[in-house]
Amino acid sequence: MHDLEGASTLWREVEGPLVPATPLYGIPPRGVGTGEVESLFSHLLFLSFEQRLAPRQVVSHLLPGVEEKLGVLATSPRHQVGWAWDKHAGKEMVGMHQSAARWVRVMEAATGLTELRFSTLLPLELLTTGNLITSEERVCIDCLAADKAEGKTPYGRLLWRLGPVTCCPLHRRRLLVPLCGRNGRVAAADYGRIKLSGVCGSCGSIGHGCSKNEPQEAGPDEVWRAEQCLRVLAALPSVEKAGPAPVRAAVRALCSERGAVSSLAFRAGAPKSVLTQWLKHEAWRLNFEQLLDICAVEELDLAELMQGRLVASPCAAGLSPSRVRRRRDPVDHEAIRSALTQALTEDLSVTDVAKALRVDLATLAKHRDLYVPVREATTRRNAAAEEARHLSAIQKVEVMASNLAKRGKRLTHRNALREGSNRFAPSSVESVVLSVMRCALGGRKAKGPVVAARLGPRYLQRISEAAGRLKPEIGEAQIPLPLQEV
Amino acid sequence: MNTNILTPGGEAAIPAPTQAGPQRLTRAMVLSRPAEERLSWFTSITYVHPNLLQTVAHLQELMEPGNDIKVIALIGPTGIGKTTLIDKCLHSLVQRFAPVRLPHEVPVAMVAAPANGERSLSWRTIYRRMQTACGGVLLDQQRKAEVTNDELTAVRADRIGLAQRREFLEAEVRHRRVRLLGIDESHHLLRFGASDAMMDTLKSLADIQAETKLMLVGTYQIAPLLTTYGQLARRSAILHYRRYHLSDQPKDDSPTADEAAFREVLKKVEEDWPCEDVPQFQAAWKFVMRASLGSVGLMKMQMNQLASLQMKQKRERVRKQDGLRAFKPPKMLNQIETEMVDGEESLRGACYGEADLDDPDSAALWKTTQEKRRA
Repeated sequence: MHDLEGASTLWREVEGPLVPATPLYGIPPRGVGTGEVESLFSHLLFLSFEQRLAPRQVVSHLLPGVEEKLGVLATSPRHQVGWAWDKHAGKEMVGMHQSAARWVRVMEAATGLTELRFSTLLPLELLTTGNLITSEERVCIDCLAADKAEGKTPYGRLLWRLGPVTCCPLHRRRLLVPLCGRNGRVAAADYGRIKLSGVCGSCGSIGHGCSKNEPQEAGPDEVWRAEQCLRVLAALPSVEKAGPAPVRAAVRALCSERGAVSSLAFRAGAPKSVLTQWLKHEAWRLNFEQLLDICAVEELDLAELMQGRLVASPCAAGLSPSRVRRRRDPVDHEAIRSALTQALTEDLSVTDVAKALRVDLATLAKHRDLYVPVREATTRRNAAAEEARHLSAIQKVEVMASNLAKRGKRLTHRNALREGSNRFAPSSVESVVLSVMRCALGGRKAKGPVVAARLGPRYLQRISEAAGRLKPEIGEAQIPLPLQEV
Repeated sequence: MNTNILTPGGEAAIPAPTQAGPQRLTRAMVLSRPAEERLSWFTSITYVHPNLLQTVAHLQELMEPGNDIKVIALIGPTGIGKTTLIDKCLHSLVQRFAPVRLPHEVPVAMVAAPANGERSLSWRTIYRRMQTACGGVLLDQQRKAEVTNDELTAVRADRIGLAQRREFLEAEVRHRRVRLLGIDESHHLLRFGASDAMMDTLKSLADIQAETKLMLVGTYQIAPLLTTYGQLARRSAILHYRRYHLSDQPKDDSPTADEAAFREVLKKVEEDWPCEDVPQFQAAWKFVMRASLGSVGLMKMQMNQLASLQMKQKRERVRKQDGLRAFKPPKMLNQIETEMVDGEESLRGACYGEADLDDPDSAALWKTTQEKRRA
């Protein structure tokens, strides 16, 4: 698990300790070699906690230096390792793509550990594809409770981050997205919160004892899928070692008989062409969930299949694929014509019709005699709505400016914000209108907004007209104060 | 040549410098170099002598992980070369006692006790230094975590007190598997009184984990710390780095063992002298030994100064005027000697390897089986 030579060479020049040492403790991820291996994201949080540092400090102050030592120079902060590191609960960190590989490289250098790739899905990189990692952290409350009972700090399993896994294979209950259920309790101050997998980020409850929801019992299908994923994670080193060829060879052997590929594709909910192309081309990868479906219908063990072996998985009996093959129903052109006609009277757009009939716009466009009028009617409606919006904004600003003039106030954004019910947000179209209007009234301090160029000549003309109406009322109020002139 | 210390068993205890530094050069190679380089080369040389070898051997014995000694005090007169010895030894100790170390481990951490003129001892400063030496990073950003009612919360970093700092240090020592935690210049710790409380604290540092030992390096002043408290004396050992003694009537032809050892060092100094014109140190060995109080470290320091002054002269001639400035004046020497004598007296019978075997009852221990049979 430890790379002695590499790490010692890297940290030889570190100031502080007499003997060069890595900046982070070399505590290996928990559950290494099992299906319950800790995810790299959870591992980073745990290491930070053990060093009594906030993960943000580690990520922003420590790891960029590590990467620099590795010879990677960040051209800008956006390119530093750690940019948006906790977005989607560290999704990028535990996946099977370039960013995960980069994280693994940096974390291995910072801890002296090796084989951190098995805390990510990188070993499956050449085998399979698909957006496998969930965008939020999910937990099994029972597993966390078991960790606590054993006196260990709870940790986040890589298994829980896999999309196809919806339940805990050990406790057979569904995973939960942790949600603090402490009603009326003042959440801990920012400095008091500890970011650690298995601990509530809001109230700090260890093992998410505060969870709002109660996990439900999982069905046999879910349990089987979770068990398969558990076994795949446990076998990650062997799977990576085997490479992509054995799994293809095993499926090829499975489909050796005539028509077997079509049959398998039909039963596993896969397009036949996809399966055929995958079997033909070495570089092609099959979606992980598709592989799982193949195993479900063929009653095979996925971990074994990934190593090129066809081993039965008895629990899979009677399971159906999760992926449903897309059906193409014939288009009902009569219904389209009728819907387009109706759209003319009911002020609907072609997009609305396409959505309702589940057809694409190209299909609608085949009925040109109806399609074009519907589109033109929509364009007219939109233009009218846009004009109404413009007029409304101008009117609103005009009223507000008039009110300010009556009270002897200058026409400024700050004063406009204080104008009771007529107040508007700085990002609103009214704010843009106000800026343009100030220019039109001759305010020397006013700057024309950049977006004014996009308003169009007609809109600008209307604003100018409104300014003309206001001019007698406002008078010289827009002349800058003497103090400002100095 | 004289850069490696060999233990009695012949094993290299102090490794030769790994970098292409000045010690790899010989005098013949150096003499053609500019004065600065020659002086740098000469200054960097560490001379091996019997007392140094003995201290290193004893240190290695005490560092054995199996024994029960938790606190080791390396005590010696000022300027004898304690810090130099430790600097040279530490890497070999790491190699010997932690040959296979994980990349995040720090087997040896050495710090210097602060002497910054504060009125009270800043344990916080010491803990911080120790933590840094143990490989701690971003110390100012560290924050304590508390578990109350099964809830984990962090304490604000600006409210980290001494106790928390101590906890951080303990965690660092445990995680980094520190085997030796050393405090150089540890006599600075004594200036603040309350030595019993201080020793309790120091001992508890060594008790953080079973394999950790604490090493105090300092002058004779720290001896009472280890000899006064029975609890500490039981699990500590004092290593005395001795100087060489000049007999009352030294003779050129029949020197004592100490005198012979010192003369041997002087011979090496002559061989390495960084100028063409070499002073006759061997001929004046009695004076040099007296002027350096038998301390090789003190002698080397004065030799460095003499070489530096000589290099500034035209044609680098040896001059009496340089000697006047290079050697310590008598009044200062007397002061140093008084402290040395007092310190040596206080350590008599307290050091490692000074067990009392004059007791006739102990003689039976050393009789061989055959002798016992005869008896």
